Amino acid sequence: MGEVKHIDQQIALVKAIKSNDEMVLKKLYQENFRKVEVHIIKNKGSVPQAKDIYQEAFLAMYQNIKEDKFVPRNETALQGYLFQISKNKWTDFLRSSQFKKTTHIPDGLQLKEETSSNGSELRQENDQKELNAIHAFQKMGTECKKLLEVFYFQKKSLREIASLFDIGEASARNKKYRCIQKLRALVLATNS
Amino acid sequence: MNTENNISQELFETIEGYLMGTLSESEKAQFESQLQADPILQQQVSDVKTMLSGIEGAILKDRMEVFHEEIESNANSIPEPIKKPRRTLYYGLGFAASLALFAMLYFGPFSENANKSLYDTYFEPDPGLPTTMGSTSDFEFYDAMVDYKKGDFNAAISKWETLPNGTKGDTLTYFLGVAHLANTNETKAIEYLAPLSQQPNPAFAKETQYYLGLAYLKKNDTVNAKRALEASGTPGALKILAELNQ
Repeated sequence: MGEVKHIDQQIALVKAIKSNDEMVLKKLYQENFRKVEVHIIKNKGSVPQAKDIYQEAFLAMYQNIKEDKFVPRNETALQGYLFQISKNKWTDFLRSSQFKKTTHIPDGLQLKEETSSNGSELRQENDQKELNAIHAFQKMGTECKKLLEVFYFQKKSLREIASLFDIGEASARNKKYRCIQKLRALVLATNS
Repeated sequence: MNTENNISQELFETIEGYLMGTLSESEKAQFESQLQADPILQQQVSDVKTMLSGIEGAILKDRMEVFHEEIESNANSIPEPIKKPRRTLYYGLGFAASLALFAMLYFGPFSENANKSLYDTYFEPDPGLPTTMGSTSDFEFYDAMVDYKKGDFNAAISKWETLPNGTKGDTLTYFLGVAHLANTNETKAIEYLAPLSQQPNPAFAKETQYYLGLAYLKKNDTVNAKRALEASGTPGALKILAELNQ
Protein backbone atom coordinates (compact mmCIF):
# COMPACT_ATOMS: atom_id res chain seq x y z
CA MET A 1 0.00 0.00 0.00
CA GLY A 2 2.15 2.74 -1.35
CA GLU A 3 -0.20 5.50 -0.31
CA VAL A 4 0.01 4.66 3.37
CA LYS A 5 2.37 7.35 4.51
CA HIS A 6 1.88 7.87 8.16
CA ILE A 7 1.99 5.77 11.21
CA ASP A 8 -1.53 6.97 12.05
CA GLN A 9 -2.67 5.21 8.95
CA GLN A 10 -0.92 2.04 10.07
CA ILE A 11 -2.72 2.25 13.36
CA ALA A 12 -6.00 2.74 11.50
CA LEU A 13 -5.09 -0.25 9.33
CA VAL A 14 -4.53 -2.45 12.36
CA LYS A 15 -7.82 -1.30 13.83
CA ALA A 16 -9.67 -2.04 10.60
CA ILE A 17 -8.18 -5.55 10.52
CA LYS A 18 -9.22 -6.15 14.10
CA SER A 19 -12.80 -5.35 13.15
CA ASN A 20 -12.54 -7.56 10.02
CA ASP A 21 -13.06 -4.71 7.56
CA GLU A 22 -13.29 -6.77 4.41
CA MET A 23 -12.28 -4.04 1.99
CA VAL A 24 -9.13 -3.42 3.97
CA LEU A 25 -8.32 -7.12 4.26
CA LYS A 26 -8.82 -7.57 0.56
CA LYS A 27 -6.64 -4.61 -0.38
CA LEU A 28 -3.88 -5.71 1.95
CA TYR A 29 -4.06 -9.27 0.62
CA GLN A 30 -4.10 -8.35 -3.04
CA GLU A 31 -1.48 -5.63 -2.92
CA ASN A 32 1.16 -7.70 -1.20
CA PHE A 33 0.81 -11.06 -2.88
CA ARG A 34 2.91 -10.48 -5.99
CA LYS A 35 6.00 -9.49 -4.05
CA VAL A 36 5.82 -12.70 -2.03
CA GLU A 37 5.12 -14.73 -5.15
CA VAL A 38 8.16 -13.29 -6.90
CA HIS A 39 10.32 -14.06 -3.87
CA ILE A 40 9.15 -17.67 -3.63
CA ILE A 41 9.39 -18.39 -7.32
CA LYS A 42 12.85 -16.88 -7.52
CA ASN A 43 13.78 -19.22 -4.67
CA LYS A 44 12.84 -22.56 -6.19
CA GLY A 45 9.13 -22.39 -5.47
CA SER A 46 6.04 -23.01 -7.59
CA VAL A 47 2.90 -20.93 -8.13
CA PRO A 48 0.69 -23.06 -5.83
CA GLN A 49 3.40 -23.06 -3.15
CA ALA A 50 3.53 -19.26 -3.29
CA LYS A 51 -0.21 -19.09 -2.71
CA ASP A 52 -0.14 -21.57 0.19
CA ILE A 53 2.74 -19.88 1.96
CA TYR A 54 1.25 -16.43 1.48
CA GLN A 55 -2.12 -17.50 2.87
CA GLU A 56 -0.47 -19.13 5.89
CA ALA A 57 1.49 -15.94 6.46
CA PHE A 58 -1.56 -13.74 6.05
CA LEU A 59 -3.48 -15.81 8.59
CA ALA A 60 -0.56 -15.66 11.02
CA MET A 61 -0.34 -11.89 10.61
CA TYR A 62 -4.09 -11.60 11.20
CA GLN A 63 -3.94 -13.70 14.36
CA ASN A 64 -0.99 -11.75 15.70
CA ILE A 65 -2.84 -8.50 15.15
CA LYS A 66 -5.85 -9.86 17.01
CA GLU A 67 -3.62 -10.78 19.93
CA ASP A 68 -1.84 -7.41 19.93
CA LYS A 69 1.45 -9.07 19.10
CA PHE A 70 2.05 -6.62 16.31
CA VAL A 71 2.55 -2.91 16.91
CA PRO A 72 3.30 -0.72 13.86
CA ARG A 73 6.56 1.21 14.14
CA ASN A 74 6.84 2.83 10.72
CA GLU A 75 4.70 3.68 7.76
CA THR A 76 4.91 0.37 5.91
CA ALA A 77 5.32 -1.79 8.96
CA LEU A 78 2.44 -4.17 8.39
CA GLN A 79 3.27 -4.78 4.74
CA GLY A 80 6.88 -5.47 5.69
CA TYR A 81 5.76 -7.73 8.51
CA LEU A 82 3.57 -9.75 6.15
CA PHE A 83 6.45 -10.13 3.71
CA GLN A 84 8.82 -11.13 6.49
CA ILE A 85 6.48 -13.84 7.80
CA SER A 86 6.07 -15.19 4.26
CA LYS A 87 9.82 -15.19 3.75
CA ASN A 88 10.45 -16.97 7.04
CA LYS A 89 7.81 -19.57 6.31
CA TRP A 90 9.36 -20.23 2.92
CA THR A 91 12.86 -20.49 4.41
CA ASP A 92 11.51 -22.95 6.98
CA PHE A 93 9.93 -24.97 4.20
CA LEU A 94 13.16 -25.05 2.18
CA ARG A 95 14.94 -26.34 5.25
CA SER A 96 12.27 -28.89 6.07
CA SER A 97 12.69 -32.59 5.43
CA GLN A 98 9.66 -32.49 3.14
CA PHE A 99 11.52 -30.27 0.72
CA LYS A 100 14.88 -32.00 0.99
CA LYS A 101 13.29 -35.37 0.28
CA THR A 102 11.81 -34.32 -3.03
CA THR A 103 14.36 -31.90 -4.39
CA HIS A 104 17.95 -32.14 -5.34
CA ILE A 105 19.74 -28.98 -4.27
CA PRO A 106 22.94 -28.33 -6.17
CA ASP A 107 26.02 -27.74 -4.03
CA GLY A 108 26.56 -24.16 -3.06
CA LEU A 109 22.87 -23.33 -3.20
CA GLN A 110 21.98 -24.61 0.22
CA LEU A 111 20.70 -22.00 2.58
CA LYS A 112 22.86 -21.06 5.47
CA GLU A 113 21.47 -21.86 8.88
CA GLU A 114 19.83 -18.88 10.50
CA THR A 115 17.73 -18.62 13.56
CA SER A 116 14.40 -20.24 12.87
CA SER A 117 11.28 -18.14 12.66
CA ASN A 118 9.42 -20.68 14.77
CA GLY A 119 8.73 -19.59 18.30
CA SER A 120 8.53 -21.72 21.38
CA GLU A 121 6.79 -25.05 21.64
CA LEU A 122 3.95 -23.38 23.47
CA ARG A 123 3.37 -21.13 20.51
CA GLN A 124 3.24 -24.13 18.20
CA GLU A 125 0.79 -25.88 20.50
CA ASN A 126 -1.49 -22.85 20.42
CA ASP A 127 -1.20 -22.65 16.65
CA GLN A 128 -2.21 -26.29 16.43
CA LYS A 129 -5.24 -25.74 18.66
CA GLU A 130 -6.30 -22.84 16.51
CA LEU A 131 -5.89 -24.88 13.34
CA ASN A 132 -8.03 -27.62 14.90
CA ALA A 133 -10.71 -25.04 15.67
CA ILE A 134 -10.55 -23.84 12.05
CA HIS A 135 -10.99 -27.38 10.74
CA ALA A 136 -13.81 -28.04 13.19
CA PHE A 137 -15.65 -24.94 12.02
CA GLN A 138 -15.24 -26.00 8.39
CA LYS A 139 -17.07 -29.24 9.21
CA MET A 140 -20.16 -27.48 10.58
CA GLY A 141 -23.54 -27.23 8.86
CA THR A 142 -24.29 -24.21 6.69
CA GLU A 143 -26.80 -22.63 9.05
CA CYS A 144 -24.49 -22.60 12.06
CA LYS A 145 -21.58 -21.43 9.92
CA LYS A 146 -23.61 -18.51 8.62
CA LEU A 147 -24.90 -17.52 12.05
CA LEU A 148 -21.48 -17.68 13.69
CA GLU A 149 -19.93 -15.80 10.78
CA VAL A 150 -22.40 -12.96 11.02
CA PHE A 151 -21.92 -12.62 14.75
CA TYR A 152 -18.19 -13.25 15.23
CA PHE A 153 -16.68 -12.18 11.91
CA GLN A 154 -19.05 -9.51 10.66
CA LYS A 155 -19.63 -8.37 14.26
CA LYS A 156 -23.34 -7.80 13.77
CA SER A 157 -25.54 -7.33 16.81
CA LEU A 158 -28.04 -9.98 17.91
CA ARG A 159 -30.84 -7.66 16.85
CA GLU A 160 -29.43 -7.41 13.31
CA ILE A 161 -28.95 -11.17 13.22
CA ALA A 162 -32.52 -11.74 14.37
CA SER A 163 -33.89 -9.66 11.52
CA LEU A 164 -31.44 -11.19 9.03
CA PHE A 165 -32.51 -14.74 9.89
CA ASP A 166 -36.09 -13.66 10.46
CA ILE A 167 -36.26 -15.00 14.01
CA GLY A 168 -36.69 -13.45 17.45
CA GLU A 169 -33.68 -12.02 19.29
CA ALA A 170 -33.91 -14.59 22.10
CA SER A 171 -34.09 -17.37 19.56
CA ALA A 172 -31.01 -16.01 17.74
CA ARG A 173 -29.15 -15.97 21.02
CA ASN A 174 -30.09 -19.56 21.86
CA LYS A 175 -29.26 -20.74 18.37
CA LYS A 176 -25.84 -19.13 18.62
CA TYR A 177 -25.16 -20.98 21.88
CA ARG A 178 -26.27 -24.29 20.39
CA CYS A 179 -23.98 -23.76 17.40
CA ILE A 180 -21.10 -22.98 19.75
CA GLN A 181 -21.78 -26.23 21.64
CA LYS A 182 -21.68 -28.14 18.36
CA LEU A 183 -18.43 -26.46 17.44
CA ARG A 184 -16.99 -27.28 20.85
CA ALA A 185 -17.91 -30.93 20.42
CA LEU A 186 -16.21 -30.96 17.02
CA VAL A 187 -13.09 -29.31 18.46
CA LEU A 188 -12.98 -31.85 21.28
CA ALA A 189 -13.28 -34.68 18.76
CA THR A 190 -10.39 -33.20 16.74
CA ASN A 191 -8.16 -32.68 19.76
CA SER A 192 -8.60 -36.13 21.22
CA MET B 1 -9.91 -28.58 25.92
CA ASN B 2 -11.45 -30.51 28.76
CA THR B 3 -14.79 -32.32 28.49
CA GLU B 4 -15.59 -31.92 32.17
CA ASN B 5 -15.47 -28.15 31.91
CA ASN B 6 -18.86 -27.79 30.30
CA ILE B 7 -19.79 -24.20 29.84
CA SER B 8 -23.33 -23.06 30.57
CA GLN B 9 -24.97 -20.53 28.27
CA GLU B 10 -24.73 -17.83 30.90
CA LEU B 11 -21.06 -18.44 31.58
CA PHE B 12 -20.33 -18.70 27.88
CA GLU B 13 -21.93 -15.35 27.22
CA THR B 14 -19.93 -13.72 30.01
CA ILE B 15 -16.67 -15.14 28.67
CA GLU B 16 -17.63 -14.09 25.15
CA GLY B 17 -18.44 -10.57 26.38
CA TYR B 18 -15.11 -10.45 28.18
CA LEU B 19 -13.17 -11.55 25.09
CA MET B 20 -15.08 -9.30 22.70
CA GLY B 21 -14.76 -6.33 25.04
CA THR B 22 -18.49 -5.79 25.49
CA LEU B 23 -18.66 -6.13 29.30
CA SER B 24 -19.20 -3.00 31.36
CA GLU B 25 -16.28 -1.77 33.47
CA SER B 26 -17.74 -3.20 36.69
CA GLU B 27 -18.62 -6.55 35.06
CA LYS B 28 -15.12 -6.73 33.63
CA ALA B 29 -13.45 -5.99 36.97
CA GLN B 30 -15.57 -8.59 38.72
CA PHE B 31 -14.88 -11.19 36.05
CA GLU B 32 -11.14 -10.55 36.16
CA SER B 33 -10.90 -11.03 39.89
CA GLN B 34 -12.84 -14.30 39.53
CA LEU B 35 -10.56 -15.33 36.72
CA GLN B 36 -7.41 -14.79 38.74
CA ALA B 37 -8.55 -17.17 41.45
CA ASP B 38 -10.03 -19.90 39.26
CA PRO B 39 -7.78 -22.10 37.08
CA ILE B 40 -10.77 -23.94 35.61
CA LEU B 41 -12.25 -20.63 34.51
CA GLN B 42 -8.87 -19.69 33.02
CA GLN B 43 -8.96 -22.88 30.97
CA GLN B 44 -12.52 -22.19 29.87
CA VAL B 45 -11.62 -18.67 28.76
CA SER B 46 -8.70 -20.05 26.80
CA ASP B 47 -10.94 -22.67 25.14
CA VAL B 48 -13.54 -20.12 24.12
CA LYS B 49 -10.82 -17.83 22.83
CA THR B 50 -9.44 -20.60 20.65
CA MET B 51 -12.90 -21.35 19.29
CA LEU B 52 -13.66 -17.75 18.48
CA SER B 53 -10.36 -17.20 16.72
CA GLY B 54 -10.91 -20.49 14.90
CA ILE B 55 -14.21 -19.14 13.57
CA GLU B 56 -12.57 -15.93 12.40
CA GLY B 57 -9.61 -17.80 10.95
CA ALA B 58 -11.83 -20.20 9.00
CA ILE B 59 -13.83 -17.34 7.52
CA LEU B 60 -10.68 -15.41 6.66
CA LYS B 61 -9.46 -18.51 4.83
CA ASP B 62 -12.64 -18.56 2.74
CA ARG B 63 -12.26 -14.88 2.02
CA MET B 64 -8.63 -15.31 1.00
CA GLU B 65 -9.69 -17.79 -1.69
CA VAL B 66 -12.02 -15.16 -3.12
CA PHE B 67 -9.35 -12.43 -2.92
CA HIS B 68 -6.93 -14.74 -4.65
CA GLU B 69 -9.28 -15.66 -7.47
CA GLU B 70 -9.67 -11.96 -8.16
CA ILE B 71 -5.91 -11.53 -8.47
CA GLU B 72 -5.80 -14.42 -10.93
CA SER B 73 -8.68 -13.15 -13.02
CA ASN B 74 -7.25 -9.63 -13.08
CA ALA B 75 -3.93 -11.04 -14.21
CA ASN B 76 -5.69 -12.90 -17.01
CA SER B 77 -7.40 -9.78 -18.25
CA ILE B 78 -4.02 -8.13 -18.90
CA PRO B 79 -2.90 -9.10 -22.38
CA GLU B 80 -0.58 -11.92 -21.53
CA PRO B 81 0.45 -14.75 -23.77
CA ILE B 82 -2.32 -17.31 -23.64
CA LYS B 83 -1.51 -20.82 -22.60
CA LYS B 84 -2.05 -23.49 -25.17
CA PRO B 85 -4.41 -26.34 -24.28
CA ARG B 86 -1.41 -28.58 -23.97
CA ARG B 87 -0.77 -27.20 -20.50
CA THR B 88 -4.11 -28.60 -19.35
CA LEU B 89 -2.86 -31.95 -20.49
CA TYR B 90 0.23 -31.35 -18.37
CA TYR B 91 -1.91 -30.83 -15.33
CA GLY B 92 -4.24 -33.65 -16.34
CA LEU B 93 -1.38 -36.06 -16.33
CA GLY B 94 -0.71 -34.78 -12.87
CA PHE B 95 1.50 -36.99 -10.86
CA ALA B 96 2.83 -38.97 -13.79
CA ALA B 97 3.89 -35.78 -15.51
CA SER B 98 5.66 -34.43 -12.47
CA LEU B 99 7.40 -37.76 -12.05
CA ALA B 100 8.54 -37.62 -15.64
CA LEU B 101 9.71 -34.05 -15.22
CA PHE B 102 11.45 -34.99 -12.02
CA ALA B 103 13.17 -37.87 -13.74
CA MET B 104 14.34 -35.54 -16.48
CA LEU B 105 15.70 -33.13 -13.93
CA TYR B 106 17.35 -35.89 -12.02
CA PHE B 107 19.31 -37.09 -15.00
CA GLY B 108 20.72 -33.69 -15.86
CA PRO B 109 19.41 -30.28 -15.09
CA PHE B 110 17.00 -29.24 -17.79
CA SER B 111 17.50 -31.52 -20.68
CA GLU B 112 16.90 -29.95 -24.03
CA ASN B 113 13.57 -31.73 -24.30
CA ALA B 114 12.23 -30.29 -21.07
CA ASN B 115 13.08 -26.75 -22.15
CA LYS B 116 11.64 -27.22 -25.64
CA SER B 117 8.47 -28.61 -24.24
CA LEU B 118 8.13 -25.72 -21.80
CA TYR B 119 8.68 -23.36 -24.71
CA ASP B 120 6.04 -25.10 -26.80
CA THR B 121 3.62 -25.02 -23.91
CA TYR B 122 3.96 -21.31 -23.31
CA PHE B 123 4.95 -19.56 -26.49
CA GLU B 124 2.22 -17.50 -28.08
CA PRO B 125 3.19 -14.47 -30.13
CA ASP B 126 2.22 -11.06 -28.78
CA PRO B 127 -1.33 -10.38 -30.02
CA GLY B 128 -0.05 -7.26 -31.82
CA LEU B 129 -1.27 -3.68 -31.94
CA PRO B 130 -4.68 -2.55 -33.18
CA THR B 131 -4.35 -1.62 -36.84
CA THR B 132 -6.39 1.51 -37.28
CA MET B 133 -3.96 3.04 -39.79
CA GLY B 134 -5.09 6.51 -38.89
CA SER B 135 -1.88 8.35 -39.63
CA THR B 136 -0.30 7.80 -43.00
CA SER B 137 3.29 8.02 -41.79
CA ASP B 138 2.83 4.76 -39.94
CA PHE B 139 1.18 3.05 -42.85
CA GLU B 140 4.03 0.62 -43.62
CA PHE B 141 4.38 -0.32 -40.00
CA TYR B 142 0.69 -1.13 -39.61
CA ASP B 143 0.47 -2.79 -42.99
CA ALA B 144 3.08 -5.26 -41.74
CA MET B 145 1.21 -5.53 -38.45
CA VAL B 146 -1.76 -6.87 -40.40
CA ASP B 147 0.50 -9.60 -41.84
CA TYR B 148 1.86 -10.30 -38.37
CA LYS B 149 -1.61 -10.69 -36.93
CA LYS B 150 -2.59 -13.00 -39.76
CA GLY B 151 0.37 -15.17 -38.81
CA ASP B 152 2.34 -14.34 -41.95
CA PHE B 153 5.52 -13.60 -40.04
CA ASN B 154 7.79 -13.75 -43.11
CA ALA B 155 5.84 -10.98 -44.81
CA ALA B 156 5.74 -8.90 -41.65
CA ILE B 157 9.46 -9.28 -41.04
CA SER B 158 10.47 -8.37 -44.58
CA LYS B 159 8.29 -5.24 -44.51
CA TRP B 160 9.45 -4.21 -41.05
CA GLU B 161 13.11 -4.77 -41.82
CA THR B 162 12.97 -2.25 -44.67
CA LEU B 163 11.73 0.51 -42.35
CA PRO B 164 14.35 2.97 -41.12
CA ASN B 165 15.77 2.33 -37.67
CA GLY B 166 13.89 4.11 -34.95
CA THR B 167 10.51 3.92 -36.67
CA LYS B 168 7.93 3.81 -33.92
CA GLY B 169 10.74 3.90 -31.38
CA ASP B 170 11.30 0.60 -29.59
CA THR B 171 8.02 -0.80 -30.80
CA LEU B 172 9.43 -1.88 -34.17
CA THR B 173 12.43 -3.60 -32.57
CA TYR B 174 10.17 -5.41 -30.13
CA PHE B 175 7.79 -6.73 -32.77
CA LEU B 176 10.66 -7.74 -35.04
CA GLY B 177 12.04 -9.81 -32.18
CA VAL B 178 8.73 -11.47 -31.43
CA ALA B 179 8.02 -12.07 -35.13
CA HIS B 180 11.38 -13.82 -35.54
CA LEU B 181 10.68 -15.95 -32.51
CA ALA B 182 7.23 -16.86 -33.87
CA ASN B 183 8.98 -17.66 -37.15
CA THR B 184 11.14 -20.21 -35.29
CA ASN B 185 14.28 -18.11 -35.58
CA GLU B 186 15.23 -17.65 -31.95
CA THR B 187 18.77 -16.51 -32.75
CA LYS B 188 17.46 -13.55 -34.74
CA ALA B 189 14.90 -12.88 -32.01
CA ILE B 190 17.66 -12.60 -29.44
CA GLU B 191 19.58 -10.21 -31.70
CA TYR B 192 16.63 -7.82 -31.50
CA LEU B 193 15.39 -8.44 -27.99
CA ALA B 194 18.67 -8.67 -26.03
CA PRO B 195 19.90 -5.12 -26.86
CA LEU B 196 16.37 -3.80 -26.38
CA SER B 197 16.23 -5.34 -22.91
CA GLN B 198 19.43 -3.48 -21.99
CA GLN B 199 17.97 -0.07 -22.78
CA PRO B 200 17.12 2.11 -19.81
CA ASN B 201 13.40 2.52 -20.38
CA PRO B 202 12.17 0.51 -23.32
CA ALA B 203 8.53 0.28 -24.30
CA PHE B 204 7.23 -3.23 -23.57
CA ALA B 205 10.03 -3.72 -21.01
CA LYS B 206 8.44 -6.71 -19.28
CA GLU B 207 7.25 -8.24 -22.52
CA THR B 208 10.71 -7.87 -24.05
CA GLN B 209 12.26 -9.78 -21.15
CA TYR B 210 9.51 -12.37 -21.35
CA TYR B 211 10.05 -13.16 -25.04
CA LEU B 212 13.81 -12.95 -24.60
CA GLY B 213 13.45 -15.56 -21.85
CA LEU B 214 11.40 -17.77 -24.15
CA ALA B 215 13.97 -17.38 -26.93
CA TYR B 216 16.75 -18.50 -24.58
CA LEU B 217 14.57 -21.36 -23.41
CA LYS B 218 14.18 -22.51 -26.99
CA LYS B 219 17.96 -22.30 -27.38
CA ASN B 220 18.20 -24.45 -24.25
CA ASP B 221 20.08 -21.69 -22.42
CA THR B 222 18.39 -22.15 -19.04
CA VAL B 223 20.60 -19.69 -17.18
CA ASN B 224 19.83 -16.76 -19.46
CA ALA B 225 16.21 -17.83 -19.76
CA LYS B 226 15.77 -17.70 -16.00
CA ARG B 227 17.52 -14.36 -15.76
CA ALA B 228 15.27 -12.76 -18.39
CA LEU B 229 12.11 -14.30 -16.96
CA GLU B 230 12.99 -13.04 -13.50
CA ALA B 231 13.58 -9.58 -14.90
CA SER B 232 10.23 -9.74 -16.67
CA GLY B 233 8.24 -10.67 -13.60
CA THR B 234 4.93 -10.93 -15.50
CA PRO B 235 2.52 -13.64 -14.30
CA GLY B 236 3.34 -15.64 -17.43
CA ALA B 237 7.09 -15.37 -16.80
CA LEU B 238 6.65 -16.42 -13.19
CA LYS B 239 4.68 -19.49 -14.21
CA ILE B 240 7.46 -20.64 -16.50
CA LEU B 241 10.07 -19.88 -13.85
CA ALA B 242 8.08 -21.93 -11.38
CA GLU B 243 8.10 -24.87 -13.77
CA LEU B 244 11.81 -24.45 -14.33
CA ASN B 245 12.21 -24.58 -10.56
CA GLN B 246 10.26 -27.77 -10.10
